[in-house]
Amino acid sequence: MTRLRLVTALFVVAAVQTVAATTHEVSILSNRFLPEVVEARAGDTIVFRVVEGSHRLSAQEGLAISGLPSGRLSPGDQLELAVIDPPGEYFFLSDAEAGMRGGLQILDEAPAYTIDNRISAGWFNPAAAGQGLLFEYVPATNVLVAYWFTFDFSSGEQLWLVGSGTPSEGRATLEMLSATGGVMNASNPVDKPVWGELTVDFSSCERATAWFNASGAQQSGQIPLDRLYLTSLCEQDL
Amino acid sequence: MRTLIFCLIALASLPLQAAPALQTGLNGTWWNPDQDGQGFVIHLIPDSNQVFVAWFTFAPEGGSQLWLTGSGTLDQQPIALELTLTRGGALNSSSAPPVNESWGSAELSFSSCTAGRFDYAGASSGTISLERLTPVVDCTEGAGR
Repeated sequence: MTRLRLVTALFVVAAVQTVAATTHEVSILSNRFLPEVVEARAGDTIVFRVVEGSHRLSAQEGLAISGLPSGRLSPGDQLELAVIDPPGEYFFLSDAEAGMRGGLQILDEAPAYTIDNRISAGWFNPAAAGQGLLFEYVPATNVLVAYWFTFDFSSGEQLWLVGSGTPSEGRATLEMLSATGGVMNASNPVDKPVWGELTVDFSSCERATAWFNASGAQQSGQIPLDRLYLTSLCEQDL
Repeated sequence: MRTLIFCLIALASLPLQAAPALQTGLNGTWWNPDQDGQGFVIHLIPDSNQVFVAWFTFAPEGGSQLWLTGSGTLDQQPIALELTLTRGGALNSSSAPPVNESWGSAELSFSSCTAGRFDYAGASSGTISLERLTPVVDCTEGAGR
C-alpha cells in the first residue's frame, strides 16, 4: 500500500504523453498513387516508391508541401518526405499524367487520447445511476474488453453484456454479446448471441463517450461516461 | 530427529507460498474455466482502500442473467465483500431508478497473481475457484499479508 502510493506519487511528476511517429508508404503507379489519400501527423515520414512510370512530384499550387518538388523518379526509386507542415489538407501531383493527384491529410499533432491499460476501471453515466461499464485493455493482444452491467430497455430485468474490439488511438468498436442459458456456478453450456455494437471514444483517461446500437432490439443511443475510480493510474507513465 | 528437522524446514518454507500483496496488478477479469460464459471483474482501488467486484452470472436456478456487485475494504485477505443486487432500472436511462438490495456476502482471496477463490453465501451459496482470464500486466508475487 505505502509503496504503491509512493510509486504513484513519483509517476505524477512524469506524466508525459508520447506518440510514436509512423511511416506511411505510397506506391506510385503509372497513372495513380496507392493509397490515394494519406493521413499523417507532424513527425511522421511518407515514403513514395515508384512502381511504374517516370514521375516528378510536386505540390498543388498554393499549398506547398515541404520536400517537394522532387527530382525525376524512375521505377525502383523512392522519396522520403518528413511531415513538417501545419495540419490541413494538401495534394501531391505527378507530371506523368494530367490529373494524377493524391491527397495528404495532416492531422492535429496528437490524438486526444490513445487507449492503453490506464483506462482499466469502472465507468458510469452520471445521468443513469445504478449501472455502468467496466473497461479492460489487454496490451498483449491490443484488445479492449468491455463489461456492461445494465437493464433491459423495457422490462427492467437485469442485463449484462460483454464485448471486445481492437482500438485505434482513442476509439474502439466492440461487438457486444449477451450470454444466455447459464446457471450460477455451474458448467451448463451458455449461448452468446450478438446483442449489437458499442463504439467508445476516450477523450482523456477520465472521460469517454460511447454509442450503442442494439441490432436485435433496434435501439441506439449515446452514453457519456465518467471514470469512477482508480484515477491515480491515469498519472502513471506506461 | 532428522524427520523433525525436515518438518521444521518445510514449515519455515511455507511463507514462500504466501498470497500476493493486494495490488492493482490483480485487477482484471477472473473466471472458472469450467464455467464458460460467466465470471468476475475485480478492481482493487488503493486510492480509496476499496475493492469493487462485478459478478456476471445467471440465476441459481438457471435461465435469466444475473449481475451482482460486491464492495469491501482492501485491508487483508480474505477480502470480505457485501453483495448487492440492483434491479428495476432501464438501459442508459434514469426513467426507472434502480433499487439496491442486499443479496448476501462473500470472501475473496488470492493465492497468486493468477489464482484466487470466491466463497459466497446468500440466496445461494458456494465456492468458485478463480483463474485470471486476461494476461497479467504488472503483478508481483509474494510479500503478501
